[in-house]
Amino acid sequence: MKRYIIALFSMLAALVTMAQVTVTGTVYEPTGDTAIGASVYEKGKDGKGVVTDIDGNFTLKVSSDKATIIVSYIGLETQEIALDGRNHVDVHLKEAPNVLNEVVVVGYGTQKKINATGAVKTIDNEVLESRPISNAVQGLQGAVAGLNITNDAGGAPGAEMNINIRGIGSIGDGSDSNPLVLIDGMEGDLSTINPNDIESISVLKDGASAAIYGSRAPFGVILVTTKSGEMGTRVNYTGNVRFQQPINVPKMVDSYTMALMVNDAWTNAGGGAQFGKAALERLLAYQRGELPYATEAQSDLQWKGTYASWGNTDWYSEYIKKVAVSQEHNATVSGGNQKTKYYFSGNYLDQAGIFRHADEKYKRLALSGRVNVKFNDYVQFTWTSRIIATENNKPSLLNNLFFHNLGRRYATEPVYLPNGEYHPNSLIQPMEEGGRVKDKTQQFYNQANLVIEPIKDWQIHAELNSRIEHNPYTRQFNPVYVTAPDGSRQPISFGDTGRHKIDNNNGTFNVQPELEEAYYEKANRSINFFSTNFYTDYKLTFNDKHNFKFMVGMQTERYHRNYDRVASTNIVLPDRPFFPSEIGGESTMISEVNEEWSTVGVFGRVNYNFDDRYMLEVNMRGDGASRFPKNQRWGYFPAVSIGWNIAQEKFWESLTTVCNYLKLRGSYSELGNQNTTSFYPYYEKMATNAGQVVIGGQQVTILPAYTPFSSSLTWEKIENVGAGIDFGFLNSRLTGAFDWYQRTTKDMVGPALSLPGVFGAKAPKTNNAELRTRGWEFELAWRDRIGKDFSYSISGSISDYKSVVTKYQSSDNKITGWYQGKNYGEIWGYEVVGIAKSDREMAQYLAQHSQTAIGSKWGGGDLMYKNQDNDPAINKGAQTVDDHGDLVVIGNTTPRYAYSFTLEAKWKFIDFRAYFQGIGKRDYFIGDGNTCTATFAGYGGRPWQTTLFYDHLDYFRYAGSELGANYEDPYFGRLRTDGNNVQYCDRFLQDASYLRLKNLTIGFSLPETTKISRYVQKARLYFSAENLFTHSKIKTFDPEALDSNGDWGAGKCYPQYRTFSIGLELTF
Amino acid sequence: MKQLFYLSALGLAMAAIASCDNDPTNPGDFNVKSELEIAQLRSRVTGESYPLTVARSIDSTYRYSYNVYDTLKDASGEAILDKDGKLQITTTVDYYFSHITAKYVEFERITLPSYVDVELDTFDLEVNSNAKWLAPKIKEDVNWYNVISTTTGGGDGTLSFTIKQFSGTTSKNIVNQIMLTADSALMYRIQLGHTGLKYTGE
Repeated sequence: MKRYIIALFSMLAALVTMAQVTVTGTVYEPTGDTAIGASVYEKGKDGKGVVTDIDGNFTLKVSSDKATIIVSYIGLETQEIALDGRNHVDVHLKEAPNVLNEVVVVGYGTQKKINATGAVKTIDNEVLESRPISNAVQGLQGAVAGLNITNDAGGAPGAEMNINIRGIGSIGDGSDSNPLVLIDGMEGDLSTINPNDIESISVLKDGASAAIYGSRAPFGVILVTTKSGEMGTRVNYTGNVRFQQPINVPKMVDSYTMALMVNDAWTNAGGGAQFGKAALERLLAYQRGELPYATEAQSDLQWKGTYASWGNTDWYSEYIKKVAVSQEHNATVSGGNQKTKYYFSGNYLDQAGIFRHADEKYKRLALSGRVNVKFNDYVQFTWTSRIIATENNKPSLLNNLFFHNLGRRYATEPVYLPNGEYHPNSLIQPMEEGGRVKDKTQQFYNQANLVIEPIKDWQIHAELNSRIEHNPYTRQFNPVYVTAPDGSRQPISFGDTGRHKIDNNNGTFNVQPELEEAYYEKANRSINFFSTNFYTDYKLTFNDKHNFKFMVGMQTERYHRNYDRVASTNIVLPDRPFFPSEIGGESTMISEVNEEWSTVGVFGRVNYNFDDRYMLEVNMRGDGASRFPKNQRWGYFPAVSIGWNIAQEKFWESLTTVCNYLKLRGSYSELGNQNTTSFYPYYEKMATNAGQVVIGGQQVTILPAYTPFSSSLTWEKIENVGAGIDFGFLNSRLTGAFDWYQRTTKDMVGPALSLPGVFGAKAPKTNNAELRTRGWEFELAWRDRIGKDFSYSISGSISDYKSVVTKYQSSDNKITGWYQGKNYGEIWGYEVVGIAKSDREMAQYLAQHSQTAIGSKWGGGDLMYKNQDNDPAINKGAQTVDDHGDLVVIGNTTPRYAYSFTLEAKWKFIDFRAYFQGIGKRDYFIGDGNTCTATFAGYGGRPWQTTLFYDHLDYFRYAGSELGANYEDPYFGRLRTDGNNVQYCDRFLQDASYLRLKNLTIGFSLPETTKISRYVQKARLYFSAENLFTHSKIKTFDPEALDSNGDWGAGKCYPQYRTFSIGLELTF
Repeated sequence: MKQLFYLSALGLAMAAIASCDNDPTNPGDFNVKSELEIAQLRSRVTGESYPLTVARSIDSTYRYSYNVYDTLKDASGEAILDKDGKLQITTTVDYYFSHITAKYVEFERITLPSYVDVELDTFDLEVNSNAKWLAPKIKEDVNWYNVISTTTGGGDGTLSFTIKQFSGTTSKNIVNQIMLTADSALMYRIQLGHTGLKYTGE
């Protein structure tokens, strides 16, 4: 019996062995060299393949000699080879015509690039790889033409950047023109998602491509697709250590030079010198090291400071480190087979700030997981979860006011007192011990995606998306003290007078502590967002030439947010703060904001292409939005786009070897904008307020009547028109695209004409304003390979736009507000004739053109402003369009000609990437709306607005000045404590254009022939630098650290920095 | 390994070059000396110009002083308090020489006449200069002389003053108007006399 069983098993074994055929062969690249590491597998058995060896050879067992094998290699066209009885095949791979096969992600689906008729650009994660960036937004700057990412607020950890697609979309009161960001189909936050999880980013720039998203996306859409699992298990680790170095930090003058400049400023304005000879000598003596201390007692309770002390401190050097160290680590595990794929990742970022005494930290922990299950050929299900936690921990003092005061602190202020404590004016102690702000974000994303394919080419999608967000926030101000000369403990001021205000729009507290005040604030914001997408699409082809794709669907969204905020100054234990239990406490501030919105949308799309030559796409979407009154709630938004693939025409065949891809396209769409700042724009609020009446010794709380509103307030409508051309030459080695567009935003909310005073209130706002943006984009890329070992690419893009207000009913036509015909970003100011070289020259000029309206005691060294009208006096007129005096448009602050170019090369195991980004033209005035800020000009129109850098030394000085004569060609007029020489004018208009070497990366990959490569699939060491070089003509500051929206005027914000990093990438 | 070494060296070089920032410098020219020239003295009423003839010219160096305040201390450096327990302030004067060589120029006296039909004659003393200059208030109590313009200026400018008609022969009071550059490198003394309506020229 046993013998029969053994014989049976032997026969079976023989049968099985005979059934498996061994195929051998060699794979070659287009250059004729053998392809190392090409993947070879039997069709239908993806997970059981082999890779070619160092000679390009492979040996594969297949089920039969009639099987088909598939050979694939990165960058080359995948080939299927039917064995047809052969057991040895040599495979010659070809270059992949990547443009023709390239796929772009569009709304609710993908399209082949050659068939796409909208303005869509898809980029892969290469633009983010190996870069020491904190978030994906940073990495995208300059990556896509028309995607404008600007940063005016410097490099504060966790700072957000401004994003728009094709320019500003709306100036409507309370409107928002940010693009819609969707992460795997759900609205998300691009600044917190782990950049390493991103597979690709698609930017839908025009209305036709964004129309499918309706009223949430009138100003474009950014679609982020995150990574999924692939066949075969992979474990990947990437990590880097970063060294951040601040750039373009102003250099303060030394104390003696500062004193001379202060004396000049005061005497030039008709005052007296602030530093006498004795004081000046003492400053020099301290600088020479002859004096041990730089201050002494002013009184029993106060130490000398500002004018009276004699220190020598560069406050920027004192506060800003030379280097800060950060790190990031990322690990992923992914894999799968034909039925199940998975992707899990974890990311940790620890970013330090560059301020001494501040101990700032920005940390991010991101965990994500995605599992895709293919139950059968008809049903597949994907679940994605993502948890992102960030924390921004910094001193409460590190705000805009701090940056304002940093430059204003005199160099004569010492850091230390004779007793070893910090001088109270240094604000170091308040920085270190005065309380912290802890701003946390916890985001939890969940997405379920079910795809059913009942029959071939018909898919039904059901998506459920949820985002839950919590923002716990605390802020504390602790009283800090200094030891006074008499030994007593005296409280230290935090740099401004105390205030406690509530912003009624968002419930935030605008607080500056009083002296000795213990303040504790606690807030929590929670967001609950839920959306559903149900859609189905069906592909239909007739006669191999008529290709249709139909798609219909519906979407619902609900968003609810709640802010609770409490603060108290009745804090008993600042080290362990808690709110006191009290009834009717005077020292408490409370606010709550509770709001929600919801939308319902139905949409449909028809794509038709004839023989891949003529394309038509029609979109239609109907949206209902809770933000509008019942009778205005629904809007319907059509879009149409067409395309013509000229290169697919028969008459083009002979040109295909030169130009293999040429497509013309055009589009038109009408979209609505429901992105109002307020969730209830058609309601007017009656917000409680502290009244001017006092009863019983207390200010009473009042409820003012609401402002009248119009019940016909409705959607803003955005009309988009565009045309473009896509092309590819020399087998798509040279590719590019050009787009032109015009976007008109109609029915923006603007002011109505004034009503007679008997109305008793302001006229209600209505939809009566229009904005038009016109622009263009151009992209070009060249990719090539020389020999087996060297490949390179050069790519670049440039774009530009201009926006003009085409309709606006301004009640006063002030040039400082909006008016019909205003170009967005206009800067008004005087023109300057020159600097008078002497009193006589100024007197002769003033005899013709009086400047008394803008200053007094004019003399040599002061600016002569140009007279533009018939009025002999130089003035601003009424600052209206019809009467703007001698003001003219001197520039425009819109960033123009945004460009970027990338050089990439790979030689054997070394890769190189240089990425340049810049703005070709931008005017900027570093001012506060009235005059230059002190950070720009040294003095900002008032004696206490003093900030003296070495850049400010280029001011007019006569011969004999202790700082040397400078009257031939100075940049600034005389330094003055008044506003004479700091008006908005063309002379001080800055050229904020720049070219920056945004990223330089050099990488070294472990060769596959080394012994370690047996255990490690891929190992790469790289050096990367961000913001390495900057070329800009702007004075003093970095062109991206100007803070145009700052509370205290431009030029007072966190510095920008360059980053060097060393990183390691391992794949097992 | 060699490639890795070169790569590391390239990375460090990149970091070193990029770290260098150019510091701004003071564009002031310390070699430019103050200049002040009294160009002319002219009457606005008659248009007559009066010659300015140098009487003498002296080169010198200024000596400056300043007060140094301190507290009274004993040999060990401890403060000596008064009977009320308060710090005692001491004052000493420190002297030092300026680095500037100063020039002092005196002009010969200019006598300004009175006219019958001119109660107030205005004169412009025009200066050419590349420096800040001062025309301090005169020490003498002279009622016929009154400066009507600013007494400080920068660069080319004018000091304007008025002369009141004098009914007598010759005024006893002489004006010594000093004009000097702000750094005291150049100082001029303009002496002015005044004749009245009864002046016959003897």
